[in-house]
Amino acid sequence: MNKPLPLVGTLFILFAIACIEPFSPELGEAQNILVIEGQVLEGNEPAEVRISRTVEVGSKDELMVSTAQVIIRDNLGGEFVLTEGEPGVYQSDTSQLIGTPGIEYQLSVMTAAGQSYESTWEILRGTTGIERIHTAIEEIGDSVVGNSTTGVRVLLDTRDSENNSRYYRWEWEETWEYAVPFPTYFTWDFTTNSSVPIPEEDWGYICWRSQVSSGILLTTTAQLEEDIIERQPIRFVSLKTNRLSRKYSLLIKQYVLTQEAYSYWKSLEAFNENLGTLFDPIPYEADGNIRSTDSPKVPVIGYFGAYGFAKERFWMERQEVPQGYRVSNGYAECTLDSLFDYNDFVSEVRFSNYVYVDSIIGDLGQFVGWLVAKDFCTDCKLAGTNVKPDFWP
Amino acid sequence: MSRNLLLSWIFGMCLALPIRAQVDELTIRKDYHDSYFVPFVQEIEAQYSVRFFYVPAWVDSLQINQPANPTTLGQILDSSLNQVDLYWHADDAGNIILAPYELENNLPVYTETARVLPRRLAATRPTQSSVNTNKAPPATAKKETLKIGVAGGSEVGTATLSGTIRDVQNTEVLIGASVVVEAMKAGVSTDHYGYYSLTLPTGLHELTFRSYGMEEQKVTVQLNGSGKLDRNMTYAIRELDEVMIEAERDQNIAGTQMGLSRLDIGTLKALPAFMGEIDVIKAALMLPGVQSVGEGASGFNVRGGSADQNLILINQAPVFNPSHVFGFFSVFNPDLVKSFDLYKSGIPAQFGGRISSVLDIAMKDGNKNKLAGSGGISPVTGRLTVEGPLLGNQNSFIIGARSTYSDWILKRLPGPDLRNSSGGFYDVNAKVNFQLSENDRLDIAAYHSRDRFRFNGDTSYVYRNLNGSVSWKHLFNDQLYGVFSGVISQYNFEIESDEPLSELAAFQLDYAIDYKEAKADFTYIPDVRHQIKLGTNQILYSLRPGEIRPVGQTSEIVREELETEKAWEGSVYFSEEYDVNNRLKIYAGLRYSYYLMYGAQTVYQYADGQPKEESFIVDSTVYNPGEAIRFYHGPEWRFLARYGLSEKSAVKGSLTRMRQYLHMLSNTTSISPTDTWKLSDTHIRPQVADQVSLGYYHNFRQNSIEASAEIYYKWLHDIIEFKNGADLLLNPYIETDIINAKGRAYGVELLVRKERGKLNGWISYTWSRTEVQVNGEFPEERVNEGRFFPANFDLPHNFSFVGNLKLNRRLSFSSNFIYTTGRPITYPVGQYQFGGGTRLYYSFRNQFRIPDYYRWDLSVNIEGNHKIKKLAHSSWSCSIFNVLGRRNPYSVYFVGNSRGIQGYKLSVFGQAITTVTYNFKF
Repeated sequence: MNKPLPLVGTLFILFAIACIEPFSPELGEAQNILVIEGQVLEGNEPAEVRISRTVEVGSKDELMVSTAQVIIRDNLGGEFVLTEGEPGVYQSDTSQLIGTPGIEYQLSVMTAAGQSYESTWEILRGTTGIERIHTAIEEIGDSVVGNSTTGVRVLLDTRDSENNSRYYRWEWEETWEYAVPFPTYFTWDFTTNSSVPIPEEDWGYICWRSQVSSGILLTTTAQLEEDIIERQPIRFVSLKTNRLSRKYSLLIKQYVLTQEAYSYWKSLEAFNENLGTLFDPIPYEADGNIRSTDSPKVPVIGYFGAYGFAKERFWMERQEVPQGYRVSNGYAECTLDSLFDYNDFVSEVRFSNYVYVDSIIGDLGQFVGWLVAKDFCTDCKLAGTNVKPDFWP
Repeated sequence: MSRNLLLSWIFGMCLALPIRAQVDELTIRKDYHDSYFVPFVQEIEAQYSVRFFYVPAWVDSLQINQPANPTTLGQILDSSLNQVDLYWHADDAGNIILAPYELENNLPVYTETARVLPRRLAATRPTQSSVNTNKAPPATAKKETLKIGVAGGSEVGTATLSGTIRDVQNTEVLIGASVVVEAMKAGVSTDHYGYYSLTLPTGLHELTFRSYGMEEQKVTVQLNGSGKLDRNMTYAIRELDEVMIEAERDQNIAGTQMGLSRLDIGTLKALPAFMGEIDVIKAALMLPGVQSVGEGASGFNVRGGSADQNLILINQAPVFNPSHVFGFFSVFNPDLVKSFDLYKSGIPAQFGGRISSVLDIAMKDGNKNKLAGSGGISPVTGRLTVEGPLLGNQNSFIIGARSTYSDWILKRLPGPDLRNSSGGFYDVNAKVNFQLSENDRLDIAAYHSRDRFRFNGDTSYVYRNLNGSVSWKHLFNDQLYGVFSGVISQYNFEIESDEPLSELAAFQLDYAIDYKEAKADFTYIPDVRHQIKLGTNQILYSLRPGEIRPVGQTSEIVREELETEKAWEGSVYFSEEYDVNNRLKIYAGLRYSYYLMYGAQTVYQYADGQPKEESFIVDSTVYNPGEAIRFYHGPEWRFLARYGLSEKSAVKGSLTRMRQYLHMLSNTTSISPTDTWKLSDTHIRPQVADQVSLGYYHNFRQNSIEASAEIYYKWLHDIIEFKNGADLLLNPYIETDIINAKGRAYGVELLVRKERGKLNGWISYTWSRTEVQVNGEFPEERVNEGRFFPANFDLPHNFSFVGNLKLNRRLSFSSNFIYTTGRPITYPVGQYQFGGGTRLYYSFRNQFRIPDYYRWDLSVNIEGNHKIKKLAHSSWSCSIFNVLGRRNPYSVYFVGNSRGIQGYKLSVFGQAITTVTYNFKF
């Protein structure tokens, strides 16, 4: 029953001629509390544990904790040591640790300083998988005021006929292909004053870009008769960006949680994403399932979960956007300009982010001038990569 | 005196020729013995073609004694009116006019605009009372000598004088008016029915009648025996609502009561109103010791108590949700409110059930003389009230309604979400009162309020209050009366959600509370030095803590209903107020309250030595309907003492214990629309508060300026706190989320107020602290490691100013200013990456404060012209709320996203809000 409240909150903020403005009060000193995020997933996914410390609010840094000894145990006597890849990120060997529904897992961490932490035993509850991913066109914001956005809402249906899953969380990774309007295959060499071909691997015509979810997406069917989820919103893809300009892909990861894990994530959501209403709950630090084995007074933040896991990739092409909707390519402001004066050309290229696109050749085949465009209109690599992802068809 | 009577009197006067001959010639042959004047007059009027004009109060104790000798009417009048210093006049039309002075034979010359008023109504200034009784009373005070009882009667020694004090204009009884015998330093004030009873030695006394906004009256009484003396008082300044704080001027230093604030509707109306809605609770927030967590927050906090610890009564019935639109407006229609009393300490023994304060709202009585109405329109609501006599002029009714009149505000807000929303509220009050006999009065009152809101066509909220009361007041004799009341109060809310995306989760959720109460209260006044009250009340509660059910064919929501909670709460009390001597007065009261929760109910038992959690349930007991589950009881003492230091100053002290068996469950900073109430049960103990307070009171300038300083310390036991992450709605194991915590509150309240004159108002400053300790046995039952931390409404510095300047009878300005320390808030003290995003690390609760709050409001009230004959009297009021446009923070919060963390400040009112309200009376 948590759902209706944020709506009321939103409403009355506006109703009351309210205003919200950025504000940065003086906060206390950072405390560098240990943070452990760990998960064992159903199937062949590697178990992953991230260990870091809290930093000051607003800081751009992350304080990773390296060279810890990280072990996951199961209730069948198995013990799996995780190895550190990136600093502070520890992964299991998928050939040894395979998350299995019904098995219980426990995380044990010993930091380089010799402090040890342990999670409670977590049972892995399997998932029956994602049933269906579909879309709906939607308008959000306000068209009268002019801040509305039309886009495609990606929706998910799933069901567990045995009514066991009940607590769900999703993450997504989106990847989209886009192209610049004025690709360039030559660059201007000011020493020789001639155009030089760009090697094919550096061409910036078609690129791919990815983004990973950062929000918390949760739901439960605990109050429902049957374990059915219909039209669960996963991602809103605005037609104003270039995501749907060619081809779009969304990888949806579905996690099935225990009730305890669900409450943990729910409170994380409440105090990180849903604040700002008239009826805000009083924030508190969500109580995780990891404890110091040395002393109950040593603080530690985080959760170690064993989650049922399924993933599904969703594809959408530009042609699939319903008729009558304008899809932006993201380059509406790009123009191709002609320059006929060398000094103009030099200054535009050197000082105004313009890039040589092509030469203008007169009727008689003589060199007349330069075609230039803003750099981001000519090279998609400025926003993504021109290396096609492995999964891309 | 009604206007009709007044007009005919004037009319009669214009035609009058002093022909007494006719009346002198009327021969009366009947025997009158101890016959009261009014029946006598009625009889005479029925027999002869004469009509009498008089004010009943002048003659109510007058008796006619006339043996059956033939005599003239004139002689009877001469001899009997002489006893009460009245004169009579007659014209040749048969009109007989009584007056307290000789009427002129020649008409005075009036200018065109001058109003012809009898002298007793024409005083233009409130009189200044004299503290020094050796001084002659001010010339404007009215003097009369009345004889009460038969001279040389059987009552020797003392006699009791009692009666009702009313407003002459609308027959409204005056609450808290005082009747003082200054020479004896004795006095009483009227109760809720405007009734007083004063026992005095027989003999000659000078009585002073005072009521705020009313012209003071001095009456010399020759008290021969017990009798009645009703008084009608007139507005000191006619036609304009007098603007002043209503609290007995003398009471500030002469009475024992402390920690009491009384505001009358005149004061409320003069205060700048938010969106044009005059608001009882917002006005209370201007008083010392009363605070709120923020704008738009429902409820208020009194001396460190949470919002549910205030007993809010209208017509004796409790109101469970005092706000409209979730907190922006209060549910009391200003047109029907007469006054309110807010008790902060030394709460009289007849009140109980909440541990912080009692807000007792008195509703107006209907006008007994004529049908009248009033109304108004503001940007938010329209109001209409009608009142008048009912079945003769001893009884009256009043009914008033207020409603939002359209969704137009919503329709003008940005966002399709808001334009597709709808909402509104209304409230209706009605009251009838019957004067069944001289000694019996019956009041029936009902109240209903309803709010609805539908957000963007998918989630709707409805909540309503419904209450009613019947009370019968009976005078057993001049010294003893009783009030017998029956009260019901109901509150419920419903949330209905048709999920826009999926019909699977469409649901409806209901919550309801039902309250029934019967009570009897007796007041016994044996003599002028004692007042004894005793009584009992019995309450039955029935709470439906929640039911959720599916809506529509496709909904998959599982119907779930929590068991109904039932309980019986009762109390008996006794109190005595005793004037030990001229300096010392004491009040001692004892209330004993008891509480029984009974079945049917399932009660869970939790393992010993383990935290109360669902997983530690070891057993459950099923109680049958009516079977006793848990019994709580305890004494609640109320002691007050006043010691007069001089004529102008006094010290007072009080010691109060209160108990509370019904608690609100709310783990948000301010009350949210889905907060519910919960009864004490096996696991949740009643809340108890002890308070000591001490005050010094000083009046300056002939009582026109009052100053007071009060300090208090409060111990709060077993107050309701919640574990982190408590789930309060539809939780069958609610006790696992509730902790009985401890609290302490202390502070100093300073107040200076000027009640009279062109410029009036008050300045108050409060310094106070409120701290809570949640220190359970287990780590999850502790907050901030079990240390005391500031409560959400701990606002140490609080300054308020209320000023009202009356330029002339038609134009007045009001201004108020309020400053408080920012409320405590929990800020993050670190951040970390988790689940792909930046998350915040919160550590201790309420360790920071949001920026300070201040607000300045202004209003102008313009009255229409004061011609007597016009269709309706109208007034305009224009108010500017938050003149400075200050964006006072309501909360500060942080949101993490992929780019990092950003702090935001939420201000409920980001700008000045100007509203114009039109009011009318007919």
